[in-house]
Amino acid sequence: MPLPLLEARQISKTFPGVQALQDVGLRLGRGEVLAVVGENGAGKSTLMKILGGVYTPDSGTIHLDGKPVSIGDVDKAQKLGIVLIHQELNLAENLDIAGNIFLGREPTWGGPLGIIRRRIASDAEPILRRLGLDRSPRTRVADLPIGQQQLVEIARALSLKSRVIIMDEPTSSLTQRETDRLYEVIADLKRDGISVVYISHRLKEIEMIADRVTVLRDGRNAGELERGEIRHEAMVRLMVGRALKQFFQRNRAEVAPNTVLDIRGLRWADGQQPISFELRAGEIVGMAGLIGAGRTELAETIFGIRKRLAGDVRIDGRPLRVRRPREAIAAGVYLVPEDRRSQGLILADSVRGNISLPSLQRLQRFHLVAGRRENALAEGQRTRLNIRTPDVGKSVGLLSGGNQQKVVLGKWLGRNPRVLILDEPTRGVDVGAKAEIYALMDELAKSGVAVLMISSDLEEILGMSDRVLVMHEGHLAGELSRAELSEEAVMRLATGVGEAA
Amino acid sequence: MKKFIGISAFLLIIYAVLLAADAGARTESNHFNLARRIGMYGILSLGAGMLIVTGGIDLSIGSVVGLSATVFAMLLRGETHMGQWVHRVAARLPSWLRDGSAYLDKYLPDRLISFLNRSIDRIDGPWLMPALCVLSVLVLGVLVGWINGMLVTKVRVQAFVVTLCGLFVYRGVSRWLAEDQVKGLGNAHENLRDVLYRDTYPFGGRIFWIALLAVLILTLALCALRIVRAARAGRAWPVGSTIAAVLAEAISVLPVYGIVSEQFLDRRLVIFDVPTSFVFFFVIALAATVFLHFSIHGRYFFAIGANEKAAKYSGVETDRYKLLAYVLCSTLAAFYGILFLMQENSSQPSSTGNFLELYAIAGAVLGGCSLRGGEGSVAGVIIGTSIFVLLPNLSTMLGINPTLEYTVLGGALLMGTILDEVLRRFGKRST
Repeated sequence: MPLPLLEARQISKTFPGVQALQDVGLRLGRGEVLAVVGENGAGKSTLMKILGGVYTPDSGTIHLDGKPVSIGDVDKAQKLGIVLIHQELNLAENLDIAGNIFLGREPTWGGPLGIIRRRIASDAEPILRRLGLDRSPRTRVADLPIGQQQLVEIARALSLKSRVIIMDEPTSSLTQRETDRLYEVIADLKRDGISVVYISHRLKEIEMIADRVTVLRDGRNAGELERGEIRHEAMVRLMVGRALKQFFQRNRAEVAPNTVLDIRGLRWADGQQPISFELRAGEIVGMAGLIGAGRTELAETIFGIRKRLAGDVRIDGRPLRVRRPREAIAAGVYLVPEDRRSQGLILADSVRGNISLPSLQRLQRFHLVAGRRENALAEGQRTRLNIRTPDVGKSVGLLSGGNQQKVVLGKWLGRNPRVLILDEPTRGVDVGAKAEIYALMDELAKSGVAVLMISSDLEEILGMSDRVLVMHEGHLAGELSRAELSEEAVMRLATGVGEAA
Repeated sequence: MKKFIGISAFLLIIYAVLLAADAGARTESNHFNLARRIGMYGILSLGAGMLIVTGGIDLSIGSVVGLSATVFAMLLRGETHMGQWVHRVAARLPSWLRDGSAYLDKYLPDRLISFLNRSIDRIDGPWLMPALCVLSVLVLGVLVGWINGMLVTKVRVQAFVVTLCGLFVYRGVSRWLAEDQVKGLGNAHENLRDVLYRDTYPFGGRIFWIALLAVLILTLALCALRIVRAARAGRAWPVGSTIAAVLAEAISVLPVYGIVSEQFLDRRLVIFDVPTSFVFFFVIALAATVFLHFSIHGRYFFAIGANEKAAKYSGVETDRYKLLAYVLCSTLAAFYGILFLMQENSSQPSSTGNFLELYAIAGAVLGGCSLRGGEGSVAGVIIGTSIFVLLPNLSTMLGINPTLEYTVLGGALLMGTILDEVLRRFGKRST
């Protein structure tokens, strides 16, 4: 490689109790797309935050154009042309697109406010056109779908005259169409000589777009792959240090004929078509669809978060009238919510406190928490789910995404589920933990639990489901049996093409 | 935990300076006064603290105090329909209920009877009437809290706005009810005042001392048990709520009982009398400790404060528990109103309790309750309140102009908050 544009050498960083990075190196050429992969907790995000100026490394150097630079803070990084786009979007939702792009850098000269707003809007227009974002710069960001919000972040990065754009899991909440659009944008950036560092758990994406892959494992470099070597198995091998056989462990058993959950004509919004389906004991039913198709809303309605406007829910043949989650929980219907950080966990609380929260009623003695039983419950789940924490008294916020998700699962597995609804169970979860979660789902199904798995990850839907329900714009667009299942079939239904109108 | 140790150290320092600064500070009477005020403010701060833990806030505390003190006075005087009703109900009760002591004589051991007689005989006339008045005022507190809580949970108005409106509304109601007249008791109900607010508790300081000691030993034993258990299981040293509770109790004992006071220095063992308000505070704090730190309901309080959505997704009845927090807070405010009337013998509807909500919230916040919710402890509130009571005393003893009292308090609260923030950042960087 000729002189790399950006090079990090021997970067080390320690956090309380964790050696996050140890002598990690990274090279990025001009106009190159470098993918950085690794399990959660491997140090990818830390490394990116160091490049983006959020953290300062304990030791090591960063070179730009061969000259050593000290980045120090985000401002400095942006001046050097390095922009980090965080996993969680950082947009002021109440401002319009142009306002977000130029936030903090609005021209201070001239005219009343209206003129300035028009001026930055006209400045924003060419950038939006370049990204193919077909929206007026005066549109409020809150009114945009998430995919387009992502493009606004990229537009902001472009307006800063960036040379390096770091994207941390940009596709985790994008639809397929939005993802494709993002690939085109990345290809354009490449052509203009802008380098992209791309972090993703979706190895398939990386196969498609990366020029080179740097693999991190446990805070160290685990290897590099050049364009020709980038393959799914090769990456996994470097990430986990061994080949993962049988990633999706679904040992299909005979599904018992008895229906556990029977949903008839369920509606939660006005003007929405009623939804009916059933779940049988021991099966894993995948639920596919684009973001915003109403899958999460459906789950929330069954679980009692949303108000049910019409329809019947029966469990084991008995009608279930759920007005709040507690009633669903009492009937053995559990939900692992989409956003584990805001809905699934109390991040400041301990692993133990999170696991026991839904079961405290059973752990009480004269209304007091029975400490020993609580501890036993938490320890039991830690062992069963292989939650990696030195102590169940440690805060959940310190765990990696995969282990956090296991804690959310642990909340429910201690209580014998009848129906388990998993909303995006492996989003932001590393490869190792993913495999463990799949194995667990398989085990649960075998023990007679009806599992409904909502997922935007097609590989997962194809790999794990016995049957797939596809939603499109608030209604059930179709059902695919195991035999009919293919990526195209799912996407056709999800985009409303294959539907009998 | 760091925060807790910080404020404990701060309290010890101001107490030490207070003792060193002036001989007057070391007297029994000064300690007695401090304990009385810690008890009074502490009752309010505990209510505010428990509410703040759930992420709520109550700005109407002061007005509720005013309303309940005024209503209590009117009930006792037999004014308004309510007061007359209470009197009538009391008069119609069977005689055995009205004359409780005679009935109890038959069944209770002699020593207890003579003890009860000593307390109950102080009250002449139907002693159930005042009891009904007390109960009515507490029910009033429950009702006010219920209204606040319903507006927050069901109508979904911001708690700040609901209780700010409450601050005005309840104040207005008490002025209207009393026709803006001062409601005093005069010489009536001396005996009720004896029981509820005599400067020393009728049961005598000795019993309280023993109870306090028992609680301290019990918590220490619990703590030791936990440590032994953890050591056996090979877990890390549990620096949990138990130690916090022990520390707080130990510290609260120091300023209150004047262990280093002049009598002690004279090597005379004197058992001090305990102010009534402090006894009530102590009992409520114990109950609150059990409720907040050891019961499942307390867990729900913290869960709701830390992440209401996650609590709801875990099946916690969030609305019900938030409502409970408002009810607890207002009921304790009503109880404060009762004690206030007993102490002052009169209530001024337009001013009684003014600004008390700010004292209550400040004590809780100083004691480590985060206004974001999900953080705080009973022990912390005890210490925060103690600091809030000791500081003005210290500034007086140091000869600082008493008009600067509020400035000293505000400055201390600000410094504490800044220090906490600095420590947090420092901790993030270094460790």
